[in-house]
Amino acid sequence: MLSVLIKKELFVELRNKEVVFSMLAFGTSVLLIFSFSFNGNPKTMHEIAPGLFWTLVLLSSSLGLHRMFGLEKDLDAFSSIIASPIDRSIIFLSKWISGFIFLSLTELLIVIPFFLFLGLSKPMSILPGLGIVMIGNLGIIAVGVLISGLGMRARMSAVLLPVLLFPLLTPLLISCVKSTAGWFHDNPFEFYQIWVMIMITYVVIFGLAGFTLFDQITEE
Amino acid sequence: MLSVSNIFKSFNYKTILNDISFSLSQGDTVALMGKNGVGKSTLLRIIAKISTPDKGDIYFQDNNILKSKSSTRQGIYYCGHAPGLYPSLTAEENLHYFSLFHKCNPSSTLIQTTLKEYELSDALNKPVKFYSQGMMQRLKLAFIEIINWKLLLIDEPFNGLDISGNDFVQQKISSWQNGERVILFVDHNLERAVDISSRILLMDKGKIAVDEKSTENGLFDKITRLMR
Repeated sequence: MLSVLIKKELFVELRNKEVVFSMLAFGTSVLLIFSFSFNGNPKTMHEIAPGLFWTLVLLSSSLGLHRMFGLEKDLDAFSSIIASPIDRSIIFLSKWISGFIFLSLTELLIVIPFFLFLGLSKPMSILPGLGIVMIGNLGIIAVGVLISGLGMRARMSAVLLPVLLFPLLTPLLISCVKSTAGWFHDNPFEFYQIWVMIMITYVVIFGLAGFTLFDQITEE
Repeated sequence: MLSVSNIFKSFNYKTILNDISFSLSQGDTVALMGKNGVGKSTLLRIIAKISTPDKGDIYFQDNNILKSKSSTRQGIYYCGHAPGLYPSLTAEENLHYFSLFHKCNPSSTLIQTTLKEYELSDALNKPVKFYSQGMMQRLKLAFIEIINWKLLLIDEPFNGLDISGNDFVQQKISSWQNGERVILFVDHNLERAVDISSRILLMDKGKIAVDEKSTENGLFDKITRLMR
């Protein structure tokens, strides 16, 4: 059933092109603002780039998460899904995985302009950076799906999402920025390992919380 | 087949369902009636496990669906007020995915034949967001033909339909009942409800005020009095 649900999420997005496109359009606009605002020397840019990157990801992802659930709210398709004989933990997993795919795809499209517009030099090794971004994405989407599910029945879900999401994501984002900075400065992994561990812990905690609590969260 | 026992539900400290209990057996076609806001839709949503009761149990084929695995709800199909569809997908795509969620895998031919029967074949490739309310209502009903169910929960199936649509759905409800299934539907039209159903449940003040066979003498007057 998980594969059917993921296929459905991808198919709906392929038809709408709302989640990825809204994140991409918003991310590009923020990136342009950043590149014009912080026209400093390359050293300063190198220092602040990890923070800018994760700010960009956070803002874009909140928009995408809102649309991901909004599409199911329009004609109340969500009620039809939760009334089906499907474990709601599987629904959470499908949302988590598809959200992760959408966010990663957006980042993939935005990362080259990010380096170009901000005049950043490429770190020596790509792999640690890729790992950090993937773990960060998993954490953001796990919390995001949990909060979006919670706000699904709320009248002001568009407001509720950032109000709950941003404070909850703060510990993860600090770890993301710290570990990305370590990677940007070509430090050995041991220097920022602790931050990566915190990120992984965060993903495990919120992934498990979503998996076990999504049943209760989505009921009226 | 379905046993609802001692269901309580409140919203904002206001009790909507106050100790609701009833049982439905194979072959029952039951009309659920009552004034607006009495909790008919809430009750249907609780049986479909979209909503959670504050207290009470629901048994479907001897399994407590509120406490056991989702697979025990296999065979329950809920058709609510809202279309419950993906606006950007076509009728066929919506049918395909929702059938899979209910563990059915209908052939493309069956889907197309059903849509034709429901006069939706012209709009086959149109996303449902372009459908009129009547078309969406017909599509919702087409799902009932495709998905395998034993218990059908249907909230105001005649909503948004013209006279011919009304007759069509009335016939359909009778044809869906094969003696082994249970149909629980919400309706406001007493004459029609008496025509279609074998039993009438009337909700009043959060309780089941009337639970009688449709053929019962004096039922019409009793219900009319309580509905006023």
